[in-house]
Amino acid sequence: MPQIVETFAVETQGIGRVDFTKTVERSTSNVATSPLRQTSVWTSASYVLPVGPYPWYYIAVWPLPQENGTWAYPASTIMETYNNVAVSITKNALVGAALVRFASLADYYILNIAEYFPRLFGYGKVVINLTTGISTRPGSVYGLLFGFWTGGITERVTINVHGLVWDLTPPWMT
Amino acid sequence: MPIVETYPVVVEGIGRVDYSNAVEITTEPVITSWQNVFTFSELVAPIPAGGSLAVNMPIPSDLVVIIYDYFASIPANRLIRLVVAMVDPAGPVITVLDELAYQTVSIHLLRGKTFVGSIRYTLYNYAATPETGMRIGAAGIYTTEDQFTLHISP
Repeated sequence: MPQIVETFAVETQGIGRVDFTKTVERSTSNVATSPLRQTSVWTSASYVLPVGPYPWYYIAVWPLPQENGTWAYPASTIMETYNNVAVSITKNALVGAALVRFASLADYYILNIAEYFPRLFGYGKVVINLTTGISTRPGSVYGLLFGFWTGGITERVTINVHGLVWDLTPPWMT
Repeated sequence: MPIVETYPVVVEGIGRVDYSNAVEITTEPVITSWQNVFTFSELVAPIPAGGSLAVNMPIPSDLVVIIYDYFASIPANRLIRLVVAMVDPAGPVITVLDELAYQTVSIHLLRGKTFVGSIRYTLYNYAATPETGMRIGAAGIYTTEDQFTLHISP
């Protein structure tokens, strides 16, 4: 089949940000996700934790992939996007949870939260669905803040964070 | 002053222009940089017994916010109501969502709603005591008015 080559003009706007939307608008379907550029990522854990006397709070953080192949808590330019956050407990007790961002590792050590993403309460579990997702910012540490209001002593707790990991973030997105 | 780049795009198949060869990185709509992510989280309190409280989330003047997720939650299993409205300083207040639920209102739209100006959350408390623990939230994306407005190059 012969190949036809078209040429388009693409305007650059702002600083370091190429705006392709004007010329490719017709072809951008919102289901056109290339499997080669995305991979599922998750944190799934289950613990038996002290949960009382109430309220009892925890912050769980997880290491993130670095450009050199190692893992560390501060995000690199390898971006993760979190779409689903869930906390559950083996009791129909009040649970609160939020995804949070620390501006740096030092801020995490002193528990200085820079940003709270939507916080929810529930009985037995909390599920936070984020349609467009929360993307990691280079240098920041991401964690799950969760707490319980129960008269129990210890309970089994499960946490789940699901999303996508992208290879190196395009430079205009860093 | 815009800089203009040109690049070739290969056509494959029948009746289907495949732009993916040249623009594959940029046509990925799920990649949202932290710079484009809009989130809002706030404690709204106290909401008087049997009353309501409204909160405006301002949007910077040159930006458009597209919100997919709407949240309101209290630390008790009581009835609450969330009303979300578009507030345009030059126009009417238009209700976008109005939902009742026990403890948590959590709404997820496959196609986000677009807001310019500001977003108003009105929270209702049906209990006989003031509500002091109402958390509200929103999540979506920022874009610029220029990008939001449809442009088709000749």
